[in-house]
Amino acid sequence: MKIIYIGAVWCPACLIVKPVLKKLQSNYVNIDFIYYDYDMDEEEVNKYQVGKVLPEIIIFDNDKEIQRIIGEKNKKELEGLINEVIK
Amino acid sequence: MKLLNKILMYSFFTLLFLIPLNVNAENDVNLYLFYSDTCPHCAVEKEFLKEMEEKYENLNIHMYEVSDEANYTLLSKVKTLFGNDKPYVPFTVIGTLYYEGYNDNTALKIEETIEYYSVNEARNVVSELINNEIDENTEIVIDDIDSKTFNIPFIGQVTTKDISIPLVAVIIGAVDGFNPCAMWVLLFLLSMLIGNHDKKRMWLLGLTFILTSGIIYLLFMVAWLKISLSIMSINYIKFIIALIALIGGSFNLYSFYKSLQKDSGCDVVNDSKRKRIFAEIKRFTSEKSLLLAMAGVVTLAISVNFIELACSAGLPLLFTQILSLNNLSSLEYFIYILMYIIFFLLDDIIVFVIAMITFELTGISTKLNKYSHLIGGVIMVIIGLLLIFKPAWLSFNF
Repeated sequence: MKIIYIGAVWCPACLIVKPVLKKLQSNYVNIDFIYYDYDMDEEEVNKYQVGKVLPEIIIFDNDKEIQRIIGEKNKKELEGLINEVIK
Repeated sequence: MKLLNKILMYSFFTLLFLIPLNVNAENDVNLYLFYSDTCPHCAVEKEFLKEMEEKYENLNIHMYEVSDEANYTLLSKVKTLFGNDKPYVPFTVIGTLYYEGYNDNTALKIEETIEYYSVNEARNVVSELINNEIDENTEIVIDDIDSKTFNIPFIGQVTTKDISIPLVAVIIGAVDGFNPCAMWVLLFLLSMLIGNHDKKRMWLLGLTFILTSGIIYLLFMVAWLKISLSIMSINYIKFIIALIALIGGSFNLYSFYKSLQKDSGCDVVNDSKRKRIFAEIKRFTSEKSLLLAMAGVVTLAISVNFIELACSAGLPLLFTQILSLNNLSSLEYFIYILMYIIFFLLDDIIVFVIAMITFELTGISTKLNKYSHLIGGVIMVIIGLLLIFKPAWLSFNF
């Protein structure tokens, strides 16, 4: 299973969500976390049909997308949404 | 058709606000007009006073045509009472205040005075003079309708104006500041600077960006204040600005309503513009010469803040309206605008200082942006309504 995070350095919401996700990472040792920057990693980012609101967190199970979390979420919300699909 | 519906809807709501209401008030207000049948200004004022009589049920107007000898004698006595020896008409007295001559500004002042005495006790010096309770040499205390005074411990005597205008500067400035228009540029600039790990350069370029942004905003607001001061007495201009405020406010409220239905986050807009600005930032921040880098950041800040003005021009424009309705000195105007700008830049300053100390970027929650649309929208609608119905309240005569 893997979690893709797509954010940007100029995006306040991303600056809030990214550190939260990094902290949560230790709770999910079997999951790969990959961080992309919307501007710097444009080629990679284009593979994921990112919408018009950042950040986006996409959860894949066996390369199949099972959850897409869009916009600013706090720790509780993020943890709940991730646990919802990996349990 | 969809756009047309929106325009009709907005116009309908705007017109809804504009139905003049009959102002009901508490105290009886007596207004004395000394005029001459041959005086053109007197004729214009008489028309204005007819409107006032319809609008204010508590207003009693007493008119004295001065070619009549008795009226002229009374006018002379009243003028002596006020220590005014100029022979002009129209001459308007309300309570302990008088207005000589007539123009749009006098009209505003007369209405403010009617509103003031509608809710404050008035001493009727003209009737006292007529009833010989006083004579023309009696000393009278002139009411200061511009403000009420409060006694605040340690600070002493403070007027409503001294409190209200700074408070409005702080609130509107802070709300305007939460509008995220130029924040993304500052964040990108800081991210590039953090990468350089040159603290002195970071401070200089970061401060250059923030100071230039402040100066641009200052110049815009001073320019708009000057325009307001010269045209503000023209009623239909005030009406147009009020309309802009109502429409801008409605748009802000509509943006807030729309934001409730979608995830709060950063809107990815205009890729090409963003990439162009990023390329410029990369160029400036990697520029060897510090002076050239600073010059680059200045031009960047100027161009970005012009975009910012369009993005949030409503609030600073309305704040300068409020200033123009208060007879302040140039220094006071400047101080209040500066105060506005400091609170406008507050979020930028916070993000910058944290980045300088921690070498990490922090963001201010985008959920706050939603509420800046709500608060900004409510403020704009209120100011728009006050500009039309209670302009006196915007000069803090409650």
